[in-house]
Amino acid sequence: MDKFSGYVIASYVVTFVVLFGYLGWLWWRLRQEQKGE
Amino acid sequence: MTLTKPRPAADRLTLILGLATLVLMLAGLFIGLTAPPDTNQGTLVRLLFIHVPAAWLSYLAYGGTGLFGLMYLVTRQRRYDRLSMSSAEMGLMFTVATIIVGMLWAKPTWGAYWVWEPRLTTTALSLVIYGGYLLVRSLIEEPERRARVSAVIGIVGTLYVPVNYMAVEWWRGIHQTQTLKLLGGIGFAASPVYGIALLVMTLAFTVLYFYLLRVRGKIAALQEAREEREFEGVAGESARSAGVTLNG
Repeated sequence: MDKFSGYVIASYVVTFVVLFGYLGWLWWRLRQEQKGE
Repeated sequence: MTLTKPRPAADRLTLILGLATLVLMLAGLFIGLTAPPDTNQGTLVRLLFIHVPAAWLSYLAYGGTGLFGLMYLVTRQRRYDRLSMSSAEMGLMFTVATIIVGMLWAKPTWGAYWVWEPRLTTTALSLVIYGGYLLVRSLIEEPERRARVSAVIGIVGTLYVPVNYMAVEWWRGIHQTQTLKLLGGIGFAASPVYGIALLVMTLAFTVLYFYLLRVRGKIAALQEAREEREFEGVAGESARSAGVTLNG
């Protein structure tokens, strides 16, 4: 840990929020489309 | 004893890709986050292991947008159009992640979150190109025309990828030159442990691209089938109404 750790943590959080947000959205869309079949 | 429905081969491949992504990503994160801090960059060096793979995924996705667009124009198979759209969507999303992480890296190293220098500017412009691609798609209702126009935009947009990659060489700004030099022999000028972490994470993001492509492509196929059913339903209803009017 150094004075830059905050930037590192924020960067990892942003990347994984984007990734898991997209995955969550895909999962929701897939459920919706499969329900409508 | 309950019998479970056998999983189709296509679904199994998606599952394997998802699991491979997870394993590679966990391994990459472990190597990257336990590597010693860099002499000059300190812990900021760890940004390399997500910034570069995210940028790589967006290049891959933009390349896919053009390639699948071209394959659509050649074969006229709609699945290539769906894959092209899926790629553009992913490219856009990971470009946003790349830019945000880049800004968080720029502040402690350059003293500012944003500088209008060549690499940053060309990256920001790729958002305009692929945002435009998705916007145009949403404005055209007729599927064949939408696919044709999008394919052309996708192919032209892909020509922009090498410009973005080479921007650090052609118009020397403050952004460092390519982390992974592909021209003039592959080279990586940093400690080997960083190279291993970067390689594993890049591999993880590459597999992730194919995983997301399959899932997004499947959703697009289901959506298209639903829209066609709805269209046929509306068309059938209209035909019946017209028949009633004519007979009545």
